[in-house]
Amino acid sequence: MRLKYHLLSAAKAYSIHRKGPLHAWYESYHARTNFRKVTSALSRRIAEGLWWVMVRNEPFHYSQSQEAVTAQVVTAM
Amino acid sequence: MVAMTLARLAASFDLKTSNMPDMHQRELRLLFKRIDAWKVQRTQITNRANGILTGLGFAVFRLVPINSPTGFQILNGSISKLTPAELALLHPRKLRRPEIEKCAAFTLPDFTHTYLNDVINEVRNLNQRIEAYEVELLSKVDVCQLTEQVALIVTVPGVTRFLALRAIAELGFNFHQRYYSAEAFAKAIGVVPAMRSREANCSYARLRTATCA
Repeated sequence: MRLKYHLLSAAKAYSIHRKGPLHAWYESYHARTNFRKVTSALSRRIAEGLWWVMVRNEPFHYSQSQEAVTAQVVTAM
Repeated sequence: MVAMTLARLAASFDLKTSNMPDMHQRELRLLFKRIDAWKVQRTQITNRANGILTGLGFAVFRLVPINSPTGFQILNGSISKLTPAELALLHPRKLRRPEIEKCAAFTLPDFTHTYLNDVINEVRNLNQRIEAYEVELLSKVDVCQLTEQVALIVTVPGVTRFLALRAIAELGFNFHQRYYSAEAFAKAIGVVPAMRSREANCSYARLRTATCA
C-alpha cells in the first residue's frame, strides 16, 4: 500500500519543521534520539488515529490517548 | 473441513474481506497517480538541471531548490547574466547570501541558456498541472459525498485533506471495517514500530489491569 510513504512524510514534515499539530505526540517520544524511530512511531499513531475516528465516528480527541481509548473499548467488549 | 477452517478464521478476525474499489475510488486513484507522476517528472527535471549546472561549476542549486520562487529568480538571473552578488541578493535570508555568492562565482556559458529556459517552462507547466489537479481532487470531496468522512479524518493530528483523500483512494471509504483493531490496520499499512513512550507504557499498564479486572 502506498499510504505508508505518505504517513511517514507527514511525520517527517513535523520532525523537520517542528510546526503543526503533532507536537504532543512528538514530545512523548522526546527521549528517542533516532530520527527514523520517532517518525515511524508518529506515523503509526496517525494510522491508528485514522482507524479510530472512523470506528467511533466522532472527531479525534487530542487530549485522549489512543491506548486509553483501546482500553475502554476492550473492557466494553 | 474447509468451511470449518473458514468459519474459525472469520471468528478470530483473521479472515479479511477484500476491497473492490468503486468508480469514485478509481477516479481518485487515477488523479493521485497523475499528480504523483508529474511530481516525479518535475523532480527528474530539476535534478538533471542541478547535475548539469553543478558539473559546470554553478553549485547554487545545492543550496536553493530550483522549484521555489527564489530558485526561479536565481535561474532567470543567471540567464540574464547577473553578477554573483546580485544573484545572492535574490535570496531572502541574509545569512545564506555569502555562500550563494561563492557558489555562483562561475558565469554560465551561453549554450546553457536555452536549456535553462526550457527547464523553467517545463517546471512551471508541471506546477500548473499539479495545482489544477489538486483543485479538482478537492472538488471530488463533495461529488463523491466524502465531506463528513474527510472532516472526521482531518481531526487526526498531522492529517491534511489530501492525506485523508489519499487514504480513501488507496484503501476505500470503508477501510476501517476490514480491520478488527487499530493495530491490525497499522500493520496492514506497514507502519508498526514498537510504541515505547512513557505515555504508551502507562496506557498499556492501564489496559492490562482493565482486562484482568
